[in-house]
Amino acid sequence: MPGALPVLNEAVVDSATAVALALNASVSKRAGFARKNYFYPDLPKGYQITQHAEPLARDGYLDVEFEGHVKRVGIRQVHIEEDAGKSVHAEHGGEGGSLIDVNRCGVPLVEIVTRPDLRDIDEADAFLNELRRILVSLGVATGEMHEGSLRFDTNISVRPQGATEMGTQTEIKNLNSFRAVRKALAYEADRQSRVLRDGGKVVHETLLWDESSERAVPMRSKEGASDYRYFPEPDLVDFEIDGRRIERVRESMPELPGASRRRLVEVYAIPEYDAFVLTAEPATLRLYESTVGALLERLGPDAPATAAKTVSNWVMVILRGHLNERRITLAELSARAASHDPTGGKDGASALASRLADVIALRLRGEVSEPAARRLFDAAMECAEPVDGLVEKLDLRVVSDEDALRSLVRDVLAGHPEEVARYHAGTTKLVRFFVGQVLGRTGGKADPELATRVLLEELRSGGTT
Amino acid sequence: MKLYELTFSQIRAGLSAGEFSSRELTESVLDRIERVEPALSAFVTVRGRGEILAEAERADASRASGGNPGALCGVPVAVKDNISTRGLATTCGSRMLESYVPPYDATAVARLRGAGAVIVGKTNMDEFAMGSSNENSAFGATRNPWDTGRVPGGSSGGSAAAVAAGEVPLALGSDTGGSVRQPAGFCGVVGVKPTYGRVSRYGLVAFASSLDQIGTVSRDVAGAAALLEAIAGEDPRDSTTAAEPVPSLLADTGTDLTGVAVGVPDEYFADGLDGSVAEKVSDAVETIRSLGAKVLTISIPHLRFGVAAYYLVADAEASANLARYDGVRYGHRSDHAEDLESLYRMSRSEGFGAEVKRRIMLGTYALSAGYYDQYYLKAQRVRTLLARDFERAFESVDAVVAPTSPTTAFALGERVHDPVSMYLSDVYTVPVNLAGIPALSVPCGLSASGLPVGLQIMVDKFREPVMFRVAQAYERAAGVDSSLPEL
Repeated sequence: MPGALPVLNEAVVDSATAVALALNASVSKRAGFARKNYFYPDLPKGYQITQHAEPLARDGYLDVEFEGHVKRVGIRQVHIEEDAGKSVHAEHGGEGGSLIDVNRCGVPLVEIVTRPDLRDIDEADAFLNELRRILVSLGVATGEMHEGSLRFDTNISVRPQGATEMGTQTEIKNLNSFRAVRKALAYEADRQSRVLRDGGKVVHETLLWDESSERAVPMRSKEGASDYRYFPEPDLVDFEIDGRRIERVRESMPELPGASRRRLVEVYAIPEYDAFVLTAEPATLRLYESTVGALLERLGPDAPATAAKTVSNWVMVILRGHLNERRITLAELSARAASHDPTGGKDGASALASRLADVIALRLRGEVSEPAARRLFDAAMECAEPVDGLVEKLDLRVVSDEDALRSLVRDVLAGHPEEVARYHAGTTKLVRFFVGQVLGRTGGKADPELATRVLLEELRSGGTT
Repeated sequence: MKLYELTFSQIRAGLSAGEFSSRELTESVLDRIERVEPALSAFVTVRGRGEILAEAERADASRASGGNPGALCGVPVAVKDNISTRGLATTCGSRMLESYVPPYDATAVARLRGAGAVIVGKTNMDEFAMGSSNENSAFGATRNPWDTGRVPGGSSGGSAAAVAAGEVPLALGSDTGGSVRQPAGFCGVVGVKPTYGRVSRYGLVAFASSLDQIGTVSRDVAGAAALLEAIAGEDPRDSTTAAEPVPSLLADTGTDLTGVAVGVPDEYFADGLDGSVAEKVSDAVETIRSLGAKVLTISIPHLRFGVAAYYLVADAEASANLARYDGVRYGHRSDHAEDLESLYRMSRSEGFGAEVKRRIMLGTYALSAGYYDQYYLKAQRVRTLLARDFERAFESVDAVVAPTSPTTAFALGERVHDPVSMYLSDVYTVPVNLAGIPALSVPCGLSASGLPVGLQIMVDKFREPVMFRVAQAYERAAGVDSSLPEL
């Protein structure tokens, strides 16, 4: 709009400073903005406000654990710029027109530029995943790539084996998923290699990744349009980031994923893989640790050494399955748990952790079977009733009465004479079938171990009386 | 004496004494516009009589209900057509924005409305404020009320002509390289360019962001001070506004200038200065000396590099600021475009006038790879040197006085085909913008050929009160004839 002026969003300075600190970069005391001039329909002013000569931070690195060793990836700079609009290249309607969503124009974003240190697709993938985890834990991005909260532009070049000079690179834009990054890098590495093998030259250009055809198509030649005529943005004043501000940001930063992983392995004695999964999202990490805490409180000195690992299984597998089946997010489930909290005083995460710990405690005390525990958890998520009461109401307490179980086993064997005969003829895997039948009749309440033992005894004793 | 002939001081006194109403004053002003506008073309848009008078009546009612109406309550004001007015076309003197109506008020306009001023219309200007004669308006050149065969100056030529002709007692202009002061000098009115950052640029359609500043045009110094007080001050919407509090700009100190040191820079009286201008300005300096001021000769050594540096910096910024007029969202869109590239090219080719295109090309060139250091960066260095020249001057003087322009108003068409001679008419005004300091042009009499001459008073950043004090003392002592030109 003619006459409109930009104003610096103070929050983005803190966010970018946090990113810079997490990436071990040195934050400039004074930073300023520049105009990058080019015409494009998604750029309503005809220039983008970015940082050019005076970025917020420079010269950092990120250590990425990759295939058993640590890869150090250099960070050239971290800077702030405004977002452009989003071009939607619509192909529907036969006209193939393009639409522009200008809603995000002028929204600040933080751009991180690496050095050319990544050598293959797996390294790039590992780096981007670690970077994503850091950004999510800092609260700087939601990490939802399809929302555009996190976007990648990749630059790639190839060179003959043994060559010391890097080849000419191309830039690929419009990568909206990790999968797209892998596909695009593979596509472009292959294309460039073929160009070089055929004796051609790679042209320095920007390519647009086309998700549907899985091809990178040239967007604009960098040679023709590379003069962005940067000059200092006169509408914004330079800003200072003093030591006090840096310290304030540093103090408000959460534990970074790498440190969280090391701590989980050390404190809870869980496998590295578990630590990796549990630290992917700050909310998951919070839930895990609160649940372990609540569970240990409930079990007291009787807690088994594996309690923390059991919680990890629940969070990674059972809880995840519950969310996926219902197509809800952890945040939504937490909110629901909070609304069920009788005290009304718990936040979502601790309400959910508390209920989860109730269920796991029952399971670890052997009061409910594994399948029953899962049913109990599903039910506990739908209502406000205390978990203990819910066990009785749903009649889920484990059937550990051996006599009752034995008569049930005999019934099952009697009802399946053919299968019993086949078992004795050597089809021993039918044990699983019989156990299933028994568990089915108890509605999953029977202790499967006990049921198996009784069943084997009965089969050995001939299966008939 | 007709109401439209009154200066702001007389209006303020008359309104508060109840000698006349805002409605009567406004009607008189509107009648005057109707009568002289065909000869002047000072306005691009005059609002409907009905709505203007309704606002004047509201101001009268608010005055009648007691309380403490502000100095501008019920006073008609015109606004340069590059300052956004909600619901009122803001063309910037360009075909490009011929049909553009802003959905919001510039901060300066919002503050004027808040003060009860009655906005009568939008004044003519050089397209996008690029020009020194108002001949670059897409809607016809404005004429100088003192001689309609001559230009009123530019780019705020419409505001200056309107005030000089009694079409309105006060007007807003914008000053990027002299665009308020030069036309004020040519039209014999008072023009102020405040300290950079004193007035919010929010809503001022950008020409050169680091130089643009909204300024005032008035018949008297008191009007300038009142208008500036109303619009000045920090604005969260413009990061370049200063947190500096706005003091009372004009104390009634009479005509005594004892204790004030005034510097006269040699370089402003060198080659190219018209003899009759030199004579009037020298007379003014003597008057100031006679009021008790100490007059010293000083130096602004880098003056001669000012115009070159100014046109590089201003046009570089303009080349980016004008990129948004691409025919996509608002403004002129070519009917003949076939694809995106031709939409950009043709909309801009058709929408912009020759001078604007020249500036965009100059600015783009100055920023291009390989030329940036040589032009843009070097111009910025000159800017720093000029700012230092003034800093050094203000170590020994409170104000610097000089001519506003080297000549009086030139004839229509005289310089239009010679851009360099046109640019050189800004030689005395651009250093102020480059240095970010405030300056004022006050009439100092008529030349031998009966054309107004302007005296420029420059002071250090945020020292506007000294500037107004010197200007008002001079205005009173010189007894400048405040009668309107014959039309």
